[in-house]
Amino acid sequence: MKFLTNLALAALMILAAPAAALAAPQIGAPAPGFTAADSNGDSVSLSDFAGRTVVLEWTNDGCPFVRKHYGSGNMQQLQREAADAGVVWLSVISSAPGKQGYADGTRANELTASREAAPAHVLLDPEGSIGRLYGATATPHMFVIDGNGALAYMGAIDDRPSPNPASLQGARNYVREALASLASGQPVAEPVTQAYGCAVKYGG
Amino acid sequence: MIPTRVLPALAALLLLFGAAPAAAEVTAIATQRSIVELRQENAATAPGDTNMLAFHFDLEPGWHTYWRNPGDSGMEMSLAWELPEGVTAGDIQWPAPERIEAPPLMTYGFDGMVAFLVPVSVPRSWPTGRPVPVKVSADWLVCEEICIPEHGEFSFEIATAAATRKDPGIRPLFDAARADLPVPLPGTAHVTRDAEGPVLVVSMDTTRHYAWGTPYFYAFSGTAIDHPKPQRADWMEGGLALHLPEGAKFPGDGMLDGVLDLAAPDMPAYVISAPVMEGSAAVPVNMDVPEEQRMPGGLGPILLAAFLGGLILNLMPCVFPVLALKALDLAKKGGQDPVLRIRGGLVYTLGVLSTFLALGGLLLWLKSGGTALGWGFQLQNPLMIAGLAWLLFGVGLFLVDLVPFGIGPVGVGEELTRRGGAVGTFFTGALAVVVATPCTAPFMATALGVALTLPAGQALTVFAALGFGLAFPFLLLSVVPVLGRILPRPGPWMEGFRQFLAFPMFASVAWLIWVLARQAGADGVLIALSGMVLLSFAAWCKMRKHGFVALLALVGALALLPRLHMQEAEAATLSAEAEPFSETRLMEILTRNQPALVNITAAWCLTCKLNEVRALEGPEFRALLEETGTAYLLGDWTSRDPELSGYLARNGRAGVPLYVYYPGNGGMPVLLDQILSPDYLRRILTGSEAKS
Repeated sequence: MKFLTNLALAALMILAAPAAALAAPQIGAPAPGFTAADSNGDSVSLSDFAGRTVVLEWTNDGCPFVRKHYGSGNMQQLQREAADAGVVWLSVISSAPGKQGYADGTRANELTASREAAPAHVLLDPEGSIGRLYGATATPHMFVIDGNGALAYMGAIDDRPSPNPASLQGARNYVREALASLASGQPVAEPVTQAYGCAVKYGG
Repeated sequence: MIPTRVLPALAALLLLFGAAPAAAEVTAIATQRSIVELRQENAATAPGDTNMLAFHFDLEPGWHTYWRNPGDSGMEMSLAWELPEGVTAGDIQWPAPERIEAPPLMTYGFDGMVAFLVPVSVPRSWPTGRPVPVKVSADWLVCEEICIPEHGEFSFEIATAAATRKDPGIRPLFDAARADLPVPLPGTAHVTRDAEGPVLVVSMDTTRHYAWGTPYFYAFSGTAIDHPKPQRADWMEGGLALHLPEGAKFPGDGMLDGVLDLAAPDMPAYVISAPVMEGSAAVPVNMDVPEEQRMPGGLGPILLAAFLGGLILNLMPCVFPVLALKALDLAKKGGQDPVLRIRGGLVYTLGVLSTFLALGGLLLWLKSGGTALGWGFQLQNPLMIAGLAWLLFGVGLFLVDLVPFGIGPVGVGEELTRRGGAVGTFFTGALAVVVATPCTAPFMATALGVALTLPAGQALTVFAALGFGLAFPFLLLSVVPVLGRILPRPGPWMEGFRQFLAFPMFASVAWLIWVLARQAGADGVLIALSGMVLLSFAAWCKMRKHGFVALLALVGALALLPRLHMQEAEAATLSAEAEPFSETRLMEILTRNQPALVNITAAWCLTCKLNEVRALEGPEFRALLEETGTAYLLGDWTSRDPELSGYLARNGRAGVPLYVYYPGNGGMPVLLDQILSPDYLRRILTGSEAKS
């Protein structure tokens, strides 16, 4: 019977999880590693930034919720604050080709320039593999990884699930809070919130 | 959702609305994607009373809007009111949502027509007769593939009078909207935890729900559960246990709040507020189901059942010819090296096991992706049926010596099984599994049904046990030499017997073609038969040493395959007394307190066909139905059918045949044995056999 069980387990390992499913990263656990091409065609790995705090921002320039944060300058401001504090900001585009928000490197750089955005890199993830790895569901969906490589925050950018720019007034920005907590060595008060926004436009 | 029967009423209202618009009123916002109308339940409201408002959505096909927890993305409607002093608006009363799947994501919301109710209270102090001015700014999101935020500024008046007067014309809309609201749970609920994660345990009278819908729990919090993952329900007498996929922030203690939708026809959804009892001992529900069938832990009996099921499979008509071939082989090698023989037995076992595990793994994998499937899924595809028919045809041709050795790709199947070496033995095992699928042995169905509700590791162990049972007799023969002596002595008779075995093969082919006719129609039959002509032509050419022509014929045969299409399933050849199965139809019958016998069958399921010929057809059966007033419902699972797959799963089965008897008195349904006899059926239907 032991042999059979082992055989069953071996078969199980080969089959693993279906590729289409979303992973579920855990707060406090090592953030899943990845390597992707950025908008300039350079290869970027999460491990390149060992020792530094990293922010992952899922984005789609056509999504009204993303537009709220870029149109108002809210996202750019947060990106600059992060850069000034030595935090690595990675914007990730997981829209599949032909779907809303898809961008090749040229288009992604145009968007960065026209919006005066300040990410360290824009990662191109047209196959959605990083998105699925992190269980990114919405744009914007935010993740903060601490200097030890552990996931410290995941969820919404703030507590105003609305596309209306007026909602930014008095909003509680969870990402800013998490970065401040990490900088001062405090635990993140709200490590998990529900992301809001448009669905990530994964390919079929 | 608002049933279609109120549509005429709505249309009439629209006319009224159009005829007499008040001066500054805005009560409808129309965009290219949605029409949102604001409706009042009262024609006049007395001060001190409440007037119910409805935001009635009519969404363009493909577009949807969201529930209070929109799921993985999206946004619920939000309202900002401008009301005179003392006038108050309550929260939105959300109807139970629907699941909107966009793999790998899942959102909760509504499409088509839906109404959100909001109560507005007029204070007692309000001067009677003076209208209440109301302004409300509404934001909502509609999504199809992309999302568009929409916005409306509604402004209108609530008429007041000494006594509240309902508007009779609007009543259907409000009645329908209220019918869609979740109601308090007629029972209790709590959350406990097992090895897999949190379990929502609901104690309630499930007589009317039992084995109906696919229960689903919608959490109010967006982070409590993992939205796209399936929720597995275990029904039991006095309640159900719903396994919840844990989200990023499942409430560790405190309460889990949400809505439980049992998805039973004409049943409301229930409001759940369940205390989370992590760590503490589960409060058991009154359960009538034997322990080992319910939860993991009692795997032993299931493995035994699987092993026995596999063992009995050897005797089933679909497997027997293949095994007879192998027996011949073994008899021939009777005097050979025992090491070689034992190795043969082990390799055969490995072939059976790995094929079972591969098929089982594939099934689990497809199911985890959300496809409603069951055992036998591999025969629900006409390509597979045609391929299997050709393979058996080829084996048959080979057995009657019409095919020489090794004729390219098509020869592979029989060549592999014929090969003396390990590869051949391995593939005999694989072939045995494939041809065994149409047959369900006793014990096997239960084991497979349970397997599909277990975690993947344990499920595969059950598949392995089944395979081990199937392989066991040969393993035994090859390992214990004494047993080998019971095999007949080799001799010239073997040639004749081998040729004879071609005829069971051809019989299987005939039957597969009949199955194909049901799946792919007359065109499919033509394609399959043309393929066989080409196959035999290829064999002949090869014998005549025209290798190239043979290859052409083979390629031609393979090129035919993509032309096979699933055709709209022909209605199963219903016998006079049967009517087609649907859960709605079954519900209708049971609400009339009429007993019902459900038979889920498939053309490719030999066990089903044998049972039908033996017990479910003919004058005796007809008389039994009449005598007991039993309705007979027949579901055909020959081709893929998610409704039937779901029904099978809810009855703890992974495949056909499934026979369920519903006594007319509202008692628990009875799962019948897999092998039916007229006597047994009579005992069940006349109630002379206690529920099994």
